[in-house]
Amino acid sequence: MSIWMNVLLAMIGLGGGMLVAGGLFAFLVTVGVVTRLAAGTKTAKFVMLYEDMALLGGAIGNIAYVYGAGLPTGVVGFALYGISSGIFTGCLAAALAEVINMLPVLSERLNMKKGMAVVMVAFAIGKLVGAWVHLIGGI
Amino acid sequence: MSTVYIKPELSCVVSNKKVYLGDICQVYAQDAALAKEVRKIEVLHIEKAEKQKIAVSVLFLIQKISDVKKDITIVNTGESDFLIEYEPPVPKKKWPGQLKAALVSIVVFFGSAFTIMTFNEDANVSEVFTRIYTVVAGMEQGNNWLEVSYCVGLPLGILLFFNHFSSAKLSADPTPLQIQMRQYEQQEDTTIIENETRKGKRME
Repeated sequence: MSIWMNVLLAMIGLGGGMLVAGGLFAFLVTVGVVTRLAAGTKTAKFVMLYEDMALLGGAIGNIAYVYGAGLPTGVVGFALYGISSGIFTGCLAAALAEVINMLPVLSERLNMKKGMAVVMVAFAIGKLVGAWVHLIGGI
Repeated sequence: MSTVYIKPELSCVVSNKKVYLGDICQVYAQDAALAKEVRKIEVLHIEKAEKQKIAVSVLFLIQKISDVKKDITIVNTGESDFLIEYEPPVPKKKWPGQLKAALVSIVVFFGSAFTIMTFNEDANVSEVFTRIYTVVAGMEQGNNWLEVSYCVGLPLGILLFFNHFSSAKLSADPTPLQIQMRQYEQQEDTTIIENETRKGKRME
């Protein structure tokens, strides 16, 4: 195989990676997951650190996926990964629903002035039950 | 008749229970002594020594100023409704903030690792790699160049997007998250002001 073919492959990979990263992380920022986490914990001054963490997490997670490589972290690492990605995905789902104005539209249509908190809790419990049924099966 | 210009910001933080005009907005008058006098007008006395946000209309400030100085014109060049955040002057413990930051860092780290994995799985990236190897290079088996460059390109893309790593910045612009953060805080402030107004709790 000629070196030029390899260079071409490298260009495709590099460009693909950069564009995927740009798109995916622009999406994460626009939806406002990290912003919400920072605002909720009142740690807005650490947003630069969070960006670094998103970069490291993205890079390492990507390597782990592409190569199927594992980090020998044991049960603790597993639990940490599980709960963190769970929180993150939960925030992502909620933020996504908020960005497309699902809840305001819903409350407007149903003429609902109060009880938004109940709807939020129902939303969260629904997610829990859905994830449980999907991943663990049965209740 | 002399003119006094005041410029309140959307939100300001005070830690004294006695709030003077100079604490919450910029004041300018051609006569420096007059400006100094106006800055020292007490506009608000906070009763409860707890963290709180108070929505204030600029009319309230104008009324307070005119109570003291009768013969001046007041011109507002800033916000017309704004928030005064009161934070009691307790010595701040530093570690809970950093602990929280560490926890959020862990969530963001593993969260983005998870997100990129779900994306790769969703978009079937491994399959696409195999396709590219056969279609572009006519190889039956990949030789790893795509994988390596993809893994290099991804952090490069994030780096370009976020515009910095650690404190090393690519350019002087604010980062996307900083912009988003600022927008979120502004929306939060205006929402509080509107809620207080609706409840009739804004200081007029």
